[in-house]
Amino acid sequence: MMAPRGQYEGQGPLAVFGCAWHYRQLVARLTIREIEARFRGSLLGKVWAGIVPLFMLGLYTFVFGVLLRVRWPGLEGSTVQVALLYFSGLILFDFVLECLMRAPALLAEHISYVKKVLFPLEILAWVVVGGALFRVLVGSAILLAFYLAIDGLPPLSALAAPLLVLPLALVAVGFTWFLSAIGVFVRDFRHAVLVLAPVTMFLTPIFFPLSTVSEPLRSMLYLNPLTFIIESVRATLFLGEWPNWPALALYTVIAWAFAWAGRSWFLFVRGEFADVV
Amino acid sequence: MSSEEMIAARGLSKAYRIYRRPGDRVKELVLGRRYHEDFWAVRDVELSVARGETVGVIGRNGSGKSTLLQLICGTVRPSGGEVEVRGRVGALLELGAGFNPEFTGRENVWVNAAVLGLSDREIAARFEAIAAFAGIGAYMDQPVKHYSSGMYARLAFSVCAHVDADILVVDEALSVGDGAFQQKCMRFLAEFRRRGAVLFVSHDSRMVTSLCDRVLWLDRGVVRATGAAREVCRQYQSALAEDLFPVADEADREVPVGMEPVRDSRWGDANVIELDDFDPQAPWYGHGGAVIEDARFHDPHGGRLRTVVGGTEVELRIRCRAERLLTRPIVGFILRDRLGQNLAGDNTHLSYWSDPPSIAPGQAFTASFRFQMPYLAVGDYSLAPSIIEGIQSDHIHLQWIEDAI
Repeated sequence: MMAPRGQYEGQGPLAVFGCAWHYRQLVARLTIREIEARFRGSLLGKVWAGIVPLFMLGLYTFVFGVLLRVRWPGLEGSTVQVALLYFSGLILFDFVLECLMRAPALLAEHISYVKKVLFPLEILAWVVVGGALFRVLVGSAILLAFYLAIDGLPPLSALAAPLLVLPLALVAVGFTWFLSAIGVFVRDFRHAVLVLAPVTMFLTPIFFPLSTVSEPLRSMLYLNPLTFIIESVRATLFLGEWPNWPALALYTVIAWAFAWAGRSWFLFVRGEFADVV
Repeated sequence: MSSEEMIAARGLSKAYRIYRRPGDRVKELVLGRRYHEDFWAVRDVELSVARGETVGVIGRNGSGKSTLLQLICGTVRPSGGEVEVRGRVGALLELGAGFNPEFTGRENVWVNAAVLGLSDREIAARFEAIAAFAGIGAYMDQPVKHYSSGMYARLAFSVCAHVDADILVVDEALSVGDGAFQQKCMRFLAEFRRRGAVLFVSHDSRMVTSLCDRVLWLDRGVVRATGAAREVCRQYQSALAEDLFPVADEADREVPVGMEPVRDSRWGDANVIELDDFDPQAPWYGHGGAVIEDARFHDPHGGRLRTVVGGTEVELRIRCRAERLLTRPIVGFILRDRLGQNLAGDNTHLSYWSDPPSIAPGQAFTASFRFQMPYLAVGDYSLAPSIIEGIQSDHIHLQWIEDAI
């Protein structure tokens, strides 16, 4: 329909954020709709946003803490605390998984934006990531509430936890760009993601600390972009350890490059979208 | 590109790649061998639209109209040729692109306007105008899923109309609203073209002739004719009519064409169409000045018909009464199906073109149309007689009755 005034032309690494900033009002509006659309029409509405993670937390506490009496190696803590450890990892895993699941069918869902409107399609990836970040926010609020109730104030290093989420968001948006562009041409990806999701869940140190894994598997697990972030988040929240800053810097650079590559690939093939979708 | 030229297309072509299997696309990518066939949706189209012009695009389904519009809007990349567009294109290709049925009209206006490129401040400033133009009242705060298709279209059109565009591309968008809203849209388009250019796509020659200066006729992706709206529409209509009521094929050529209509023997006398009486209470619009008093079918010998048989020759008589002096009255009718699609129609324009009759106030007059009744599938149809004054492209509606029979 309408070419948004002043189309964004950026190509460089900064454009990863630049495009989202340029269309920030549009991104914000679509993200809010994305979040609201999930609960629209249901009786409890937005309450579900809180019920789902609360239920998950309760379930893990019951199964692993009460039924199986699992202990977290190297940490003396209550059953609820173990559940909180799982929960912190799960929040981040869910964040990435949500983006991976949405990506392959993303453009097919927004067919009119592809065919009928001159629309900056690349911001859809940020909209998906924004919607998923909202869930991280709700999960974190619940995590924090239980943390305060059980252990009192978290260590000072917990302040670094939000910083760790940002590079993960870069990874997520990069994956979304790659997968959404491929998903237009090869429909099979939406099924493949479903098959691979549980596999990646066990290849991510959510229910076990990485220290219990022996080499060379441990190093291999680091290929999973979630490993470093989840390990670091747990360390800042529960052990009072600050992140490994140089490693985090390196991670961020790689994640940024990955997101940039994803966006470049997306823009490279986007001219074909309207023909294929 | 001259200073006032807003759209210039030269040799514009689009080929879609057709793969027999989805895997072939991947194979082609990997092996580098050709696995597709080209389907030329649009081929070598030349088009130039200047400021202040309204250009129509007509053609049957699948003739490449939509592809042409998409090429001009820039959502589809051309395979050959080029298109230059000056100014912002506002495309009403699909009304309500991205409307979410669960959300209210108000919420959808905000998102849709943002998608169309308005900033939050601009939307806030124009919201009242958008709501007023749509005229759907309290429904604004209802979820869009409860809207009728007409209300949906009104709201969507209203949003598009309030996004400043220099070029408007309208694709069949107006055919959904009711008569009053269509007229509102027409007025809007007439107003709009003073500052911009309009590209209007429709199957409806009546709308195209009344709105457009020039018309481009697309047939299987190729420009079949281009020129003055009335002339091209006439050619298009007669080509359509040839397909709808085929003139005898080779074996039947002895039958003098036009003397005796060709009947489709497969139907026999089975295609009986029941007629309702003329309904003087049916909704109508127009400026008044003449009244349509009756419309009825007769057989060729003058007997009144209660039923007509598809394929037989019938005579439709429309009786009118002038309420004031009419200088160039044209009486016509349109046969529509249940969905309001125009199936067939005619008017007295061409018969009286050179010698227009004038009718004194109070005088009654009857227009007769002889034609072969089309074969109609089972369903409800309506006949809308109308009387206008003027010429086809520039006239005032005196009375237009919807669903008279």
